Amino acid sequence: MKNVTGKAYSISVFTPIKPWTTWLNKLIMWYASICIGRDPNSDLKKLSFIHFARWVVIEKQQLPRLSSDQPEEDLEHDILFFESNFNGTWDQYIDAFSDVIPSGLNLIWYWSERFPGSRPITPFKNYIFQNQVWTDYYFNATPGAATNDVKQGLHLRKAIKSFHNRTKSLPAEQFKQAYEQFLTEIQQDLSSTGSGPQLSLIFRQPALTGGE
Amino acid sequence: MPNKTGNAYGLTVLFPIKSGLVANYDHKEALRIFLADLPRDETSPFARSAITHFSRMVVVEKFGYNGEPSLVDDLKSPYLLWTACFNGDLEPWLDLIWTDMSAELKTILGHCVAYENYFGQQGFKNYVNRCQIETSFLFADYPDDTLEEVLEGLKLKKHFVDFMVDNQQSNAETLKSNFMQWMETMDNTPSPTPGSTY
Repeated sequence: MKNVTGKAYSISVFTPIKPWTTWLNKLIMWYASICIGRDPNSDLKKLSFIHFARWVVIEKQQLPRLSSDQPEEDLEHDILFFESNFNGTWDQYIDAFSDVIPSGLNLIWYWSERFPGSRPITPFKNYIFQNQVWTDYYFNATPGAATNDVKQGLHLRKAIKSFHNRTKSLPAEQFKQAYEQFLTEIQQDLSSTGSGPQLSLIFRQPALTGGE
Repeated sequence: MPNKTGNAYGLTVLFPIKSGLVANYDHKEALRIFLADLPRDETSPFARSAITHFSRMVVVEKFGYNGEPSLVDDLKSPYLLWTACFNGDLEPWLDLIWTDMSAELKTILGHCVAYENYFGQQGFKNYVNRCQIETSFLFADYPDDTLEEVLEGLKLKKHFVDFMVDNQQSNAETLKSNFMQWMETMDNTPSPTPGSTY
């Protein structure tokens, strides 16, 4: 499945937004960029299985028309594009989103047409599934590593270099004591990486809804 | 600048795909066939330099149907969505990507409207700039760390476990000597190749 490379799943979702709310969507995204994007204690960070994610407000006139031969678009709606690079299955991801940041999701997608709300979960999953577009090509530079593996590796890298610098001139006995202390500091950074388990619930059949 | 958070850049581009046929396929299908065969592992063209964390290409030919009364916004042309996550600024990344994979990019963009009017490396950058959509909100869990740093971290993570196990019974002299030697070895050990399952 092209949506999956290694331990990462690529989700791409386009939802229609009312043009009169486009400015509001942009304002919300700006607020999110300022307040959530760099907050180490944000709920998005706490989820800790999203490598990168983005929301893009696309105004209908922004779709590029590069030739007079290219038909002119006449969309009624502007578009909200969402993508994420996450670890785990599609169901786990949507479940976690709905459980941990329901109000944030509601704020972001409230302005999308027919958004049912992030809770209860079944209509929300149906909505995301109906508006998801399948990935044709997906490159992941670290397919053997989950988000936590990457963050642990980055922490360990800094810790080892710092430990090396501060202990290289110590006598052996003091070095050993510092090493033992160091091990307790980095013990949570030592999980193993490599091939992940085969995901069996990646693809989800849409539930029947009234509109289908 | 919403395209960036910290040192991470989120590129979002929508290229319109040509109508008409090429070798008995319409352009979007020919593009899908090419993308389906493009390697995604360490032999991927994106793996030729350690500069791109993630990238995806998606042929978008229609949007989802959201029930009656009709809310289907039909697209008149299909589009190729190209997104990428990397560190630093756009222009140097585009230069490196062009150096690494201009052959693949020419094939991919050859299916897109008016690319034949854009020539060479500068033309490629102009074409991307023309079709770029500003990212509104980019979230990155490790926004300030380059892919090289990430790969080095994964290398150290894997090798340090072996070092730790091998030296559980070492006395102080041996432990220090082995650690200093291990650091030198690590300095000379290449990080994993991007795209490899490490």
